[in-house]
Amino acid sequence: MSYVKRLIWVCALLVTLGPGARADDFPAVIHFGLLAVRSADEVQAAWAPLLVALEARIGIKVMPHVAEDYAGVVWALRAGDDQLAWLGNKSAIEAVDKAGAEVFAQQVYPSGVAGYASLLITAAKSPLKDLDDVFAHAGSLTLGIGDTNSTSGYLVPSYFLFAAHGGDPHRIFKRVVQGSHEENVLAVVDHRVDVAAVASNHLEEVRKTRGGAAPMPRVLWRSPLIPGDPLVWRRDLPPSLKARVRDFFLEYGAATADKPAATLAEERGNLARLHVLRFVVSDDGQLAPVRRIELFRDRLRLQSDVGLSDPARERGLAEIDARLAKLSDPVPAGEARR
Amino acid sequence: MMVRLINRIRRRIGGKLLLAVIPGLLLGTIVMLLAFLEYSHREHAAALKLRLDSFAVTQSASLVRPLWQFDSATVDQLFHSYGDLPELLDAQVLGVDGKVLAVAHGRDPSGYQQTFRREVPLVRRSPDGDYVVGRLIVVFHDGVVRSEEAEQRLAGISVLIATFVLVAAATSLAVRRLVARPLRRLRDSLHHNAATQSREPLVWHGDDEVGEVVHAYNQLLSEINQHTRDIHRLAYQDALTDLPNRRLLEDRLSHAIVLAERQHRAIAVLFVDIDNFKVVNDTLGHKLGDELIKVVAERVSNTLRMMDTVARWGGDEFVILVESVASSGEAASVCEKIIEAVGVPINLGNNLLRIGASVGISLYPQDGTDVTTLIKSADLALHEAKGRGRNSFHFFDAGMNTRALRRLDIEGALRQAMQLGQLELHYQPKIGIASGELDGAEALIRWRRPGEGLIPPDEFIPLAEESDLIVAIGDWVLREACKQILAWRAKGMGDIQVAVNLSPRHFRQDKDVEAIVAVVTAAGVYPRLIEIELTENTVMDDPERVVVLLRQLRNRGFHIAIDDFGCGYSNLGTLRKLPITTLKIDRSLVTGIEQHDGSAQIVRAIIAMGDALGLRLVAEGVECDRQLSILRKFGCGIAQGYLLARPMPAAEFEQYFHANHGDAVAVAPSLRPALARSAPAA
Repeated sequence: MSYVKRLIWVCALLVTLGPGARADDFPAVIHFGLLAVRSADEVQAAWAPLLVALEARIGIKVMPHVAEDYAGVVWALRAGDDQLAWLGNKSAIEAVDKAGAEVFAQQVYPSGVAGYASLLITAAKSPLKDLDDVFAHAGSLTLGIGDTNSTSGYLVPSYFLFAAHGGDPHRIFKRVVQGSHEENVLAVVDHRVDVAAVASNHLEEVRKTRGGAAPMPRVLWRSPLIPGDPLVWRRDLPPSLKARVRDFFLEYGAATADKPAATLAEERGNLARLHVLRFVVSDDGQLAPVRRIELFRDRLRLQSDVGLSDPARERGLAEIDARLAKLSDPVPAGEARR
Repeated sequence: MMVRLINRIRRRIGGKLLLAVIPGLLLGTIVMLLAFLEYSHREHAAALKLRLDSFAVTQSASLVRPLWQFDSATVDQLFHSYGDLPELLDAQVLGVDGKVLAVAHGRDPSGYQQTFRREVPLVRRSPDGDYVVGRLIVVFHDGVVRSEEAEQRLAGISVLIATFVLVAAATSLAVRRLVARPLRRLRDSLHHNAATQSREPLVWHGDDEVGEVVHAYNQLLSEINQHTRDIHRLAYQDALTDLPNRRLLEDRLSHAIVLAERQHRAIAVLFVDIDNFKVVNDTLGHKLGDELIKVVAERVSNTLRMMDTVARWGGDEFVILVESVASSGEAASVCEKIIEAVGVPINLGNNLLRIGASVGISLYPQDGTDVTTLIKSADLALHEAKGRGRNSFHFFDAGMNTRALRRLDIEGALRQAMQLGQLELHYQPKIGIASGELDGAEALIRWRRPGEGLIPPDEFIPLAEESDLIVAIGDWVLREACKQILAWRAKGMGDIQVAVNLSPRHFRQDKDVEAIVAVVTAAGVYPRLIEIELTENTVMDDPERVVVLLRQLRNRGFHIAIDDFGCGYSNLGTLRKLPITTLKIDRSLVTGIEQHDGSAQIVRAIIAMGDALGLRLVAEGVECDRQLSILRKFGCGIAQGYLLARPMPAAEFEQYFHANHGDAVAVAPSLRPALARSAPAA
């Protein structure tokens, strides 16, 4: 970095951070926000090796902060209490939109996939060949579908699959049966339903547990990938610090030239406890599919909101449509990167 | 219109009370209403603020969690539900960056005047620290409260008006019932009593104040009554004798004069004075003197008719008003009665007093036509009486005095005459014109007064008719006639019918007829032999009564004749009803029969009418042949008159009878020429 460039950076930072802000004005302590997906101790214990390594790498003390809910992390980020955090897609959207955070990496599942997908399946011996076949005969078919609040079981197929064919699956199909992912898989296998929408990881799990005892259902349609959980930082962190942090996560569990094999194994072990294979680079763009789905859900809610006046509904719908249109990248980031 | 109504209300006590009560009531109620409304307004405002606070607090509590979790759907839902809040003007939630996250507007925020604003920070308390997640701003308006208050005000005003009307009506009714109506009755009673000069008490039930007033009013009335009586007595009565006093007498006299003038009647004013009262007073003392006056007053009063007035004029003087006297003689007889009554000895304080009274008489209209003159005249007459010797009376008018004295003289003498046998009956024969035969006789009374000779009936009968003396005379005549009939019969002269004249006084009562019948029956004479003659006037005084009485007589067999027919004003209709047997044509008509064609026509008409009614016709006063011949020509049945025979004493009549009708068939020779002359040339 040339002297001039460096000077410009300093000046920019001085302007943005005000008096006393310096390029190397790193925070004394980094708080790492964590979602309490399990018990706080467990989560903390699982993340402890990573955080210790991070601390060693960036030379700043890193403290875990396990919030009691997802929003806790977002608000802590917003307040500047946390500087880094591991979030879900949904909470990452809030963090990005409201807490001045930025996605810089995402997990890759232990299977090597950077996300999951929603599937439309049918029995192995079903005469249905493809999606067109399904919608051509939808009037005489029974659909198994997930809980209304399930993203992969309901929201994703609704958005990607049924919206194009009229919207409400109840109107498209002869009959709609709602159940859990497992139930729907088994219903297809047992021919109780003709087709069913399930999440890809659940199909994998059924496959594992059944161990090939019966012919597995055929996948008629696969949704775009729903990206894995992202890592975010506060956007106002010093770029040099950001670079170090990003480098740390990208290199963690990855084989590098100077990394001893024992260290690599240890790192992979630590990641496995987090059900993570490794981290890959990502950005806010990865949130687009979930944003789209969220907006779609808002749209559904608006449409079904009987208490709303027609102009208000129209206005709301128009706004959502505008925001949908603004998500210029229709292809989820994760899928693009696969 | 309105003003008149208010004036009308004002005039009534109920209205006055209402006008007094209602403004106070109205003011009180309005003040109460205003106070209530103000209180209510404050309550409402306080309640509204409380609601706002509690709403803001509860909603902030509800909003923290969704805001925390970026759950805009829930926020929207919550805000969506705010729309139902009637008091809400608007509500909004701001994010930490000041961006409006949700807005809600009141559904119908109209008619509000005031707004209340609450801003509540939305704070999430977490173990990691407190996070402000946004701000809630709620603005309430008082539109609902205002409309509630307006309703309340309306209700309040309605209640006010209803109360007002009810209280006014109740007050009005109560006042009308409890005060106005009683007062109106009292007022009407007052008006009535004032208008009719009466003092009728008011019948009242109730012992409230009004009842007490009415009671007092009634008491007052009776007191006034008593006082009025007292005043009247004091003003118009003499304290000693309780007789009317001078003033009342003058009043009554003036009233009597007015009546008498209208009815053409006479009034007598008698001025009475006790003779030598001063002596009595001086010797026996004032006390006994007063006692004497009281006795005299009582005696004088008892002498008079109810309608006459005795007044104490002062001292020992009394003035008596005798209304409607028929003649001076009547006045004189009143005086005589008074003098006689006073003359009865009086026992006064162990003294037997015999006192006399003198009376002066004045007559209306001769002696005066006004109160003062009449009394003065009577007073002058009194002095004249005193001057001529006490215990007597004297008329103001000298001529009248003479006549009165003469009348009294005759009257007194006549009474004695009956007892002394100075009265006698003469009989005038009635002759059948066609037959020349005797057809009864008319008994005519004569008074043979010693020293005066024979006094004609014209001189004493009218006097006798002024009193009941005429009845006694009539009875005597009847008795005498009966005796004569029996005597003639005993002498073989056969049954000669005798006509007897009776005065109207014989036909006043039923018992008069009975007396007649009794006399005739007692004498043992057939009633058919008695013909009772009465004048037209007797009948016409009271036709209905007389018809009844005459019918009774006729039923007994008496013959009845109308005397002097043709000169009175007989009602022919009444005549037809009379049970008469004979008509006696008045002598004036008979006398005029040959001079005036009119009389002849009347006589002829009477005869025709008598024939038609089947009556005997007797022509009276036939004095010449020409009259007789005309009467014969007219077909008159019987004649009576000097031409045929004069009235004659019974003995003379007997000679006449024997000379002319001795054979009871042949016509008297002396009559024959007369009858022959008057007979038409055959």
